[in-house]
Amino acid sequence: MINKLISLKEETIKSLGDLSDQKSLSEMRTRVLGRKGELTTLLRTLKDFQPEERSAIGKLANEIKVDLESRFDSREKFFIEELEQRDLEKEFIDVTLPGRRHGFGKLHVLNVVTAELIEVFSGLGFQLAEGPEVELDYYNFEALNIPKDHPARDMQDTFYFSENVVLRTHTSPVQIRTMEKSRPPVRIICPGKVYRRDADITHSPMFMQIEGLWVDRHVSLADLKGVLTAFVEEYFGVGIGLRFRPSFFPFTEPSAEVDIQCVICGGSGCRTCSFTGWLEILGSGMVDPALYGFVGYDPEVYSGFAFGMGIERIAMLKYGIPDIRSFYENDVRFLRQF
Amino acid sequence: MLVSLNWLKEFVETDKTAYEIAEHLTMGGIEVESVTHVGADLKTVFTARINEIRRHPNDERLAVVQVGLRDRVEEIVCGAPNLKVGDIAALAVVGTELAGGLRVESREIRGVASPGMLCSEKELGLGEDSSGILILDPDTSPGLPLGSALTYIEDYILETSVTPNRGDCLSILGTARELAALIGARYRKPAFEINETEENIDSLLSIECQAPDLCPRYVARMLKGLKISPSPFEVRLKLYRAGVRPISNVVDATNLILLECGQPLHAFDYRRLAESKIVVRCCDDGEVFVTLDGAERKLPQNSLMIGDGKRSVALAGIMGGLNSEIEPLTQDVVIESACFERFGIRRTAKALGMSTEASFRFERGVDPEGSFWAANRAAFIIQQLAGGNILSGIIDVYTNPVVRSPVRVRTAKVSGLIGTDFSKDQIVSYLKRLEIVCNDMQSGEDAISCVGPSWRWDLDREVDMIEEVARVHGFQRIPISMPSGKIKPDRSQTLYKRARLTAEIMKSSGFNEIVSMSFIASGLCRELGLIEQDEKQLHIINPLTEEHSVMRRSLIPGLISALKRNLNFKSDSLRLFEIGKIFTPVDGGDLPREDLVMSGITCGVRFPDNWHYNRGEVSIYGKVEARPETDFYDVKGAIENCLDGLGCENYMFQTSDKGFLHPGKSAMLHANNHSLGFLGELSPKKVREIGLTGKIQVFEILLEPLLVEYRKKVVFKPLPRYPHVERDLSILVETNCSGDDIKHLISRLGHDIISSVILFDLYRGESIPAGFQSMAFRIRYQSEDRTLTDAEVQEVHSHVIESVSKRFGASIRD
Ligand SMILES: [Zn+2]
Repeated sequence: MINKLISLKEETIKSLGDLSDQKSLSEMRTRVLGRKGELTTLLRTLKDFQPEERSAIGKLANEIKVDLESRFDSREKFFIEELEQRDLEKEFIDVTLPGRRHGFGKLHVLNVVTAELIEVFSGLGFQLAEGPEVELDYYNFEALNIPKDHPARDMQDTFYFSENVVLRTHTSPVQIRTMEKSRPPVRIICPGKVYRRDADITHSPMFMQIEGLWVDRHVSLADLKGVLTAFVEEYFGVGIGLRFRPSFFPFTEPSAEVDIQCVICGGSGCRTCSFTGWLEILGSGMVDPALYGFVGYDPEVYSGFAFGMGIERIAMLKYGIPDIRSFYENDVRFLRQF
Repeated sequence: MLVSLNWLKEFVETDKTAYEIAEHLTMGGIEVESVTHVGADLKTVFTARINEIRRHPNDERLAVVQVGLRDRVEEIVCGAPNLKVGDIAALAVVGTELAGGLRVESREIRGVASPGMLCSEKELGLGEDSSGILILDPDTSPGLPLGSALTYIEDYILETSVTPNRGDCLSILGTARELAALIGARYRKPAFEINETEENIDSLLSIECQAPDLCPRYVARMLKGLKISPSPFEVRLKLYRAGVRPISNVVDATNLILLECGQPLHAFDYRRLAESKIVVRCCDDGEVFVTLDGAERKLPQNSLMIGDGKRSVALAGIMGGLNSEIEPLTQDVVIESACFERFGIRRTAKALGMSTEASFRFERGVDPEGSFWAANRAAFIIQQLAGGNILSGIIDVYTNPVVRSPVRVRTAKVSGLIGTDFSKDQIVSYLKRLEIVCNDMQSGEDAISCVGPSWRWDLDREVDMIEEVARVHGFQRIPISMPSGKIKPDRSQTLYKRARLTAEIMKSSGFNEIVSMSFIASGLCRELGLIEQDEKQLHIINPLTEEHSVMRRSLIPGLISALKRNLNFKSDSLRLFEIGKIFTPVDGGDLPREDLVMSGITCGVRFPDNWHYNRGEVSIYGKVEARPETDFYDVKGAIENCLDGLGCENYMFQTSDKGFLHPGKSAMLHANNHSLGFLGELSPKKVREIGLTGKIQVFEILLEPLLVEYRKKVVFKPLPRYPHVERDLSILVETNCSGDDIKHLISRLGHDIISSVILFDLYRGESIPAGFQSMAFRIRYQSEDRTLTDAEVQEVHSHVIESVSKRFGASIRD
């Protein structure tokens, strides 16, 4: 009996290896392990043995059953996976083709650059302030220390709606409006559209500016240098040189133009920087005490700095765009590059 | 201003190169925009004496000129009209590259060989005159390269950009003085001596100033018996390189002085001054005056004029008159060296649209103390160039000499504002370099009493002096520090960020953001029907073009023109949007209302060039549309995305009556009973009128209320704990039935157990009677407090079926 069991096991194991598909496997499983299968048939004769023999044979038979079951299972699993693999190989798609998209637009590069600049200055402690684009002459000029008939008005050729209403020529009126309604410390950044009566390759009658103002006790020119140096390092990269040189703006005293090392040629000289190695990027200075008179701040107590730059200029440098007009032509071949 | 380095070095002692000087000036606040090396490329041009002139054998318009160099002669063919034996000319030999790009070749001209070319100043790039060859001064030695014979030819031209507060640097002397202060070098003003005749100016001329506030000082000198002729080449070149056209010796001399010291001068022909008199006065009302450029000008009120005994002879500080101009036969001249007040000149020049070398300087402030010196200098130079006698005496009308009050400059304030410590001595030493007079304060406080020099009208406050300290010290040497301040929460960006979020959402819906001009053509909004005929617009008084003459009341015109531009460049499927302001005039207010709006436009197909969708979509008519056009629902979907993303609620879309939109395919967006804007297909008529074809969708909505007012407050709702049951409802209704109405009706009938209603199918194709459509809704039944029984659901669902049939005349489909 024991021999019969062992030989059944061995024969089964042997023929299991010869099987080639799932169907014959399941037939064989029924033949050997099924209710009327060979193992069961064999065990029916168990009752003819002595009880002590019976238990040993029963134990062995059970072991063989468990062993064979697991062999059938793993063989079956092999067949299933093999079949699946063959099916997968037939289901080939071209993974290099574009995915299913419903189109994706682009944001205007000037708005993107504005957002980046706001983020940098926000990190330096500035709050956002905005104001009207159609502005009173008072806020655009008078309160910024630019009286009528001042030659500084030539620096900003203006669109007029009436004697005292203009299209703002800079975002500086927002500074006056903000100071009028709040006390120091004032730390604001003012982005927005501004307008000057000028149109050529470097001038658009409408363009965008961002200006900053910081007024508090004990604010110095050294602080202005610190903030703008931090800005340049953050936006253009650490190691980009910058220089401050004296200039003139009616609303600041002292005034400084800020140049950065040419980002195109690295300072060795190229067409973009007119072979000077430097690029003018912003105007700045200490707020002229005359302005405090218009907003009721005591110039003996407070001092501050202001700065401003053209967003187009920054974008042109960042992306190497040669013509300011391309920002406002709205050609999708341009828009989609950014 | 164009500053010649050679000229500059006459007045400041320095070995620095042009580029080093440019750097010093720029870093000192006188920006040098460019440095140009000139006259260095004339190595193959030689001075040559004209020995002999013969007529060309084959062409009577030409001459064969024998010229002598140092040790040889050459025969050159030349057609110039001003050939004269004995003159020294400039000979360009073979190989010379001329200013116009022409290369001198050895060639035969009508049969006679010419191994070079006699050149005009224009051909050499040394002037504008091309009427004849350049004749050099007679004492020039022949046979030398031009640059060695005339060392002033090689030069560097510094183009400075002078800020409006620094009129004192609009001259060579002023620039030299500034440079000397910045680099600590010596500055010397030219010295000269005048020989006067016995005849006195007072016996010949009287001057009356009726407007001392507009003309603080008027100085005059006279010369008699001079001879008008062209200036020598060196003078002409100086003027040319400064961008001033040479005319004749007397006028050139006045321009030379203007460039040298910044004092504008005018020379009158004495014999043309009626009653031998000069009167400084304001113009008559409505006066018309002919300036020496020949233009007849109607003078603005209160323009300052220079008159003689009878009439006006010059527009003060701007331009002389044709009636007193220097003429070829002029012998006696009056030189005016006056100081006119800045604002007066500017008003007149601006009103007349004129800007001259003189007005430009007066507007930026001319040193009243310099007028006297300049009058003498002019007399001296005119005599050198045109001969004649200088009359003794000077007329100087200086009613109210400018007195400058001292400015208190506190050491602590200087250090505090600049942000670094300065000693009093250091401050004084910097200020003194600028010829600012510094004295200790009598009170003994730690401060200085300062008086700026007469040419620096811009220095009258403490802060002005502080800037000078910082400037001479060097901005670059000021240390870097960070301002300190209390940190406070930043709510300032909320609105801005929401607006940008809206843009991001539009971007995800396939829209490209544009930025268009805030001003548009005045007729556009009305023609498109965006505003009514009687609605006002904000007009610009001085627009650049009619295309940009009113502030937009809608962004649609800008979007249309962007669309057109892109269609012209063969981009045919477009989705564009813009976020920007529109401007509405307000009755009785100075400023218009500015509203932030978002607008968009689309055209072309929904899925351009996308292989996934190329075989098309099934339309509601059951047809496969191969390349479906972008339609109303695309735009509405994009807007709904924004509303959803912004967290808006209580909004709805209702039919629109906008005339420019397709009546059946347009809607108004409402929120809390306010109309926020429109969306829809542009009517075929408008599409034709704007010169386009196909289907164009547009929308415009007020953005700010969406960013601010209509945001819902988010309150957490517990997740459902009991299962839901879904039932579909398929009905046949007329096509004008509103899906929203059906949905709302079903929701209302919900007895608290309908949690959602979704339209999941719409069909109008075959097997559906004309004028009808099939709609299928999926209704989800769910309760918050129990598992619903079939009977419960069935009861409500039956009620829904019944009501929908009754209310909308719907028949139920299975
Ligand atoms: Zn460069």
